[in-house]
Amino acid sequence: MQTKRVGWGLFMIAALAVLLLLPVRAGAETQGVTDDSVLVGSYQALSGPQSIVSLVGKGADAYFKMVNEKGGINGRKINFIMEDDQYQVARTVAAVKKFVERDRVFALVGGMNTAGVMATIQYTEQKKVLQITGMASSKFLFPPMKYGFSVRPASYVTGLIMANYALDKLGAKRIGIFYYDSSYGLDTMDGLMKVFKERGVEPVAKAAFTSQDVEFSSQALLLKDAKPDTVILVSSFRDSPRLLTEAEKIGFKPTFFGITENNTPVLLKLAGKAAEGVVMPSSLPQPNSDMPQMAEYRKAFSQYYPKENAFNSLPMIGWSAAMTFGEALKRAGRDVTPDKMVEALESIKNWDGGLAYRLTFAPDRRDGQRALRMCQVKEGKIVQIEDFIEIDKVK
Amino acid sequence: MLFQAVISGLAIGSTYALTALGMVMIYKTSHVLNFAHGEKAMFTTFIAFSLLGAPHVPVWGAVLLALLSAVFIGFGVELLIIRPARKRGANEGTYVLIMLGFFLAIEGVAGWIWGTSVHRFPQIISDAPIRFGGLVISTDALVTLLITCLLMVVLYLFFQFTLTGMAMRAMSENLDGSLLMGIRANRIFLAAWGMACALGATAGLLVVNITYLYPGMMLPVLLKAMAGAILGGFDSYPGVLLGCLLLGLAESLIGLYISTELKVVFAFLMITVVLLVRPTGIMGSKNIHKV
Repeated sequence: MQTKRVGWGLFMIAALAVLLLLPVRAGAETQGVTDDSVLVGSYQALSGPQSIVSLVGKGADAYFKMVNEKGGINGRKINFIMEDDQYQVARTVAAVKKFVERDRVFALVGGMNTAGVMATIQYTEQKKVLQITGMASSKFLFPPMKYGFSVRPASYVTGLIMANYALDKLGAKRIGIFYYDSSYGLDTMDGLMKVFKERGVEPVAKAAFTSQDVEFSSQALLLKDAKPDTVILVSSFRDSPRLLTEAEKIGFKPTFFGITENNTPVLLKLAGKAAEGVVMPSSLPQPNSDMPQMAEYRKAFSQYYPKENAFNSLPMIGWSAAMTFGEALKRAGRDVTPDKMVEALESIKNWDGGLAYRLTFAPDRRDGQRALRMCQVKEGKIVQIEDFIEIDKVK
Repeated sequence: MLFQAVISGLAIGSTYALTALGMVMIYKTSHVLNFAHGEKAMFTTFIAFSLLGAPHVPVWGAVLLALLSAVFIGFGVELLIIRPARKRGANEGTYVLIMLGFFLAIEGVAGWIWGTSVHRFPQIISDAPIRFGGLVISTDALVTLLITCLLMVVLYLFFQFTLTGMAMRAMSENLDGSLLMGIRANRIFLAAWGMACALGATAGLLVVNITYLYPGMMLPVLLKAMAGAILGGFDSYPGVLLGCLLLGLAESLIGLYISTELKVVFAFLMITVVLLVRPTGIMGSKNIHKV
């Protein structure tokens, strides 16, 4: 009996020793990178009510296909795989686990869903999986993560830029705010209120709404009563039209200044003539711009996704994220690891590649773009009224 | 300001009431809580949208065809889903699950056929504002209010003076007794489902101007409609109208005077308080079991 016990004990010690020594061997090669390929994953809402957002993934896919056709980057082709998470957190978590542990991806490109990304970020940071996203959430960007990057301006930064523009260029004296009680709504509010407080301006009215609201008659009345000359719309192209048409109905005509999510022809379709005069920023170039990067994007996206509309900001965001990943991959050289990619990304300063404007990363900065250009709806068309406005410091 | 809030509240309240009418009709006749009611309304509104987009289809033709398709969808649900369940002895809880599944199915199919982007539904009834005094109501909101009241009258006459209507009332009170009296229950069920879906389709066509057209358009409306119906008494048509109008008013006034982001919270709090005092709603019949 005693001999058996000692036998087991020796066995356990030997097993422990082997297990402790293993990691030294396992970390030898970079996950997701082979001699001639790099594996990149993307969780997208391929089905379900938010499936329109999967255009981001499709934009990234078009970029990678184009690059592969030209021979890849540093002798490696990029294998891009998408997984359906239906924009639901539980599925995003499952998709990310699958990507990292089963498919063994090198990086994730094109994440958009705030709740999903935040649920998986500790995990991807721990596993050193790079994420180049289209995220605008403050939770993700401030303070910055090590491996989490975004090519899209933060909602907070949008708030900062918009507040200054409203006061300086729109001549706003009495400001009303209509906002969605959600994470992006509150992040944008933080940015707006920071500037207003610094400049001694107090908004005359704030009206919030939730996803349970069917119509906005009480919000419109509340705002009208306060007599603002400018109303900032922190709402998307699906909700703003309802306020715009209600305002028109009750004869309320301030200058409406909407966030970037309003900058789409769909706003005009839904709001009709109530959208006339609405000012809104954009983080991307004009869809019909003749910049060479834009022409290249339009050509490739129409080639690989002929049924989709290339003149849409969503695939442009995906393309931008993918192109940023590609640039970092090029700069990192043949001997690529997640940390080398981070170094490469941090070397990107004022880069006009991607469809981003002067993309800049740094050890303390993971939001690549801090600039917006201004547009306005004039005679049923969205036209640019101000070229890119950039800010440097955010806190 | 107050009066304008009241008008807007009544307008949205009548939208909830119109949506709830069909749901209550099904509940009274077959004791099925039809969670998919809104989705069917959305589906038929999409059908109308496709028809209106097709060449050579006049507006009234598209609307009529959409309503007709609603009737057939209603027949289909009763024949293919509810009747087999009823035969197998389903209880109210089972029906809830069935309709929830149906809800997900319709939303998925609608998204698959028409995509998930948001569309503007062509304006069948003008949204031109009507101004009186310092107040304003949009034409289609006024029409919704009028149609809802008109339907209430029509339904009252239907249930009081037609054989089918009386048969429905009898069945909802006592199914076995009705069968013994020779009422062709299966036919009446079909009629109820067909009518209810047509009511839902009407609601969808009027609501779409507020919500815009996309697969998820009806859910917030349906939840409010149910809440308003519960407030007013789920088995009483006048109760449904009263409850929904009250809910619309409460939302509008709470939103204006207390808090815009908490207006739903306060409205539902109000409903909870009322239900504590009158558990079957303001005008609902009391659940009295004679021992």
